[in-house]
Amino acid sequence: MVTMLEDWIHWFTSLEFHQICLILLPILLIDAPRYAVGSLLMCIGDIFYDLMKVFIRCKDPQYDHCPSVCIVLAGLNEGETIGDTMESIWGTYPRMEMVIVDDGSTDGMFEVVERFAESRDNVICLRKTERGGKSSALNMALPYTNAEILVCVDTDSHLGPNAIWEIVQPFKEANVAAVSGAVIARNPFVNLTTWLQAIEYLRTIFLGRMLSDRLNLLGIVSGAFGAFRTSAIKQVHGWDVGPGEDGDLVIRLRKSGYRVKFRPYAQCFTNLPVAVGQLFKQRRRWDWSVVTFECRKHIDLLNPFHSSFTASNFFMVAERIVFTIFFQFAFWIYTIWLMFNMHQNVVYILLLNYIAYTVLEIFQYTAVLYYSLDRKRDLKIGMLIPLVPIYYLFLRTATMVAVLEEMLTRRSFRDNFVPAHVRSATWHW
Amino acid sequence: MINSSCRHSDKTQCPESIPATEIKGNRYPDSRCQSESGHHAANDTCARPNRRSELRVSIDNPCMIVPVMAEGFPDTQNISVGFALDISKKGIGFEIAGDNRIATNQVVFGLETDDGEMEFVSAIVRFIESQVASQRIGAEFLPEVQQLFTTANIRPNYDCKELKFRTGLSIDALRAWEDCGVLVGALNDKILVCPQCESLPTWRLGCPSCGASSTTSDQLIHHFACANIGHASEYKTDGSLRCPKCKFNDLVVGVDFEYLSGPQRCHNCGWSDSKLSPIGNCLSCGLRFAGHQALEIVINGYDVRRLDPLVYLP
Repeated sequence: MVTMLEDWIHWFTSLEFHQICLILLPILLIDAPRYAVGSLLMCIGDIFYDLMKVFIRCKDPQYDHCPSVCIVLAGLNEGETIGDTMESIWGTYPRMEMVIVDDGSTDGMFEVVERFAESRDNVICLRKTERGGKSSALNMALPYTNAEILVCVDTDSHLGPNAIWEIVQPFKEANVAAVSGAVIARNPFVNLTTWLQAIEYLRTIFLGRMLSDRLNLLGIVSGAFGAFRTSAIKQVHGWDVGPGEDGDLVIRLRKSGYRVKFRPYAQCFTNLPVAVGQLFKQRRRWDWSVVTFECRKHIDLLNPFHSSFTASNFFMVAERIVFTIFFQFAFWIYTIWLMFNMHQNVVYILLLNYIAYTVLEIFQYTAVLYYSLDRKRDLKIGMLIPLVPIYYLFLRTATMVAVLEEMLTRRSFRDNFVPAHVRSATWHW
Repeated sequence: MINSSCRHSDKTQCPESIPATEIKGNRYPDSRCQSESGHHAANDTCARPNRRSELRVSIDNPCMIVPVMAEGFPDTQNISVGFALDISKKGIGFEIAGDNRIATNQVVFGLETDDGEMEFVSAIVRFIESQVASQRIGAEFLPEVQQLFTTANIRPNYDCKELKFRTGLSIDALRAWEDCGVLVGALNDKILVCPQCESLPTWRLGCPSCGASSTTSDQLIHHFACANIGHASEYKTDGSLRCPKCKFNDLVVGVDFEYLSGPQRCHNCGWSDSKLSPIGNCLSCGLRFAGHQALEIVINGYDVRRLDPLVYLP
């Protein structure tokens, strides 16, 4: 082992700069610019700003915006979890009503909801006799509310303290139509799969969206916890058929001239997939939508002559297409090329990449810890950072599979996330 | 046998002033008429009741006698127990220990049956014969319409004038009889009544906000292709259906869309929700109230095991 390490050091020191750049090309082209550099710059800037606040004694921002809010919970067969979710939300905000849509459950979910509503005003229970999919369930709530803000929460999630207060604050600005909350792992320590996902959520959702928000490139609001201006939602007629309906709605809102914001301390704790198979399927579903929506349905955002063209929308879509599709292909092609052309040093190359990725992760996770509300917990989650590069290889595989099957077979339109009668009727982009 | 000690001054007022006839079965030994109502005056000319014209059968079952006070209350302080001596279609003879007088003329007589249960009947005490350490008493069963525990008296009936359920006897009297073990209470119903006057209201589904019944339900259309859910009126154009979101024309129900029931809307206050609420309107005092404000009252009825003398007769 020691000999191998010595050999590796000898090999590494023998490399010239351009050779190192060539070997680390995926990191330098994809991962470093997309997350690491920006995150670190943002973090350094915030540290400087926070230090300045100490000296000039700035007042912390208060919750001074209190619009009426309608919480929408749409679920299918969530009888076991929805009771806790409703309890965790109810009463955390003064001007609140709740609309719960049962999308044809058979597990007694509606009875749970009705019992909850019995003793509370402003709770509306809606039941669809036939399953219509998540989009139609969310849209079902629209005719029933006149609240200014619609807050969508997954039926198996819990909100953090002051989450509703946090998420409605950006709506002070009249052109903000959607605000994404931060989705945090609720079950990080169940097994290795959830633990690694927890790291990923902190890095890509908590930290990554903070950066996207500041660059005005945020193109998604999590279905698990997101807020929307009701008038804007009604203007674009709500959600389209999924999967990927959350991202699609955000793009349509941006097309209509609205802004999308992220609120990192509006936190929602959600259950992550426990099994590897579940995770693989979930990620494929997420990545199908990049092809369906960014590459097909909303490709007009790349057209500078289109009426809805804006620079930020252009970069938002371009970023998704380039990083999620183009660079995924490039990564695997480059990896195969590297294996063939430098096969005598494959192990050394892999080790070099692994070390580079791990260092990059540590830097980014340091930024996560700076912003974290629960550093003790997040530090514990971060103990598995050395495994993250391997986990990202798994995610890249899922993305590659998803992109290929969506491009070649329009796989998303055969997915049972949407019921068959809706799949057969909807537009196949 | 003539009772020479009957104290009625006026034969026509004495309940025992009916000519006596030969009795069958046991005869009482020589006795005195001792009506307990107190209004009787001693009168040797008081005539015998006609109960002895009926066929009588000797029995020796235990019995209890509960005097009936004003307004149908039991005199719980003077309940007597003893043994029945004979029974006929119209009356019964029994013996009770001691010389305490029965407090009232009207009594409820209870006879223990062979299976250990008590059966009751209302009766009028016709004569009392004092013995050495007991009293022999003859009582006549009251006709059916004068029985204390008629259905009208012990079962709740709807009073159309007051819009309430009532019993012939007061609830307190019925409870007192239940405490004596004569009546058995049974839940008849639980009903929702006006919280103000406890009268029966009429019910309708109405607006939970203002109570108005002038509400309408919107019909929604769910277009499968774009997941749009909107009011049916938004879809209607020139006789066909057109999705306001995706502009798809000539929608076909079942294939392209489904109807969904939409929000209920109140024309009076503008309220909107998914469900109407039961709203009560009291016909007596005119109060309009939400279902959850209604007063729930328990309607109790009572049962009694009635004594049927024919069971004991051949």
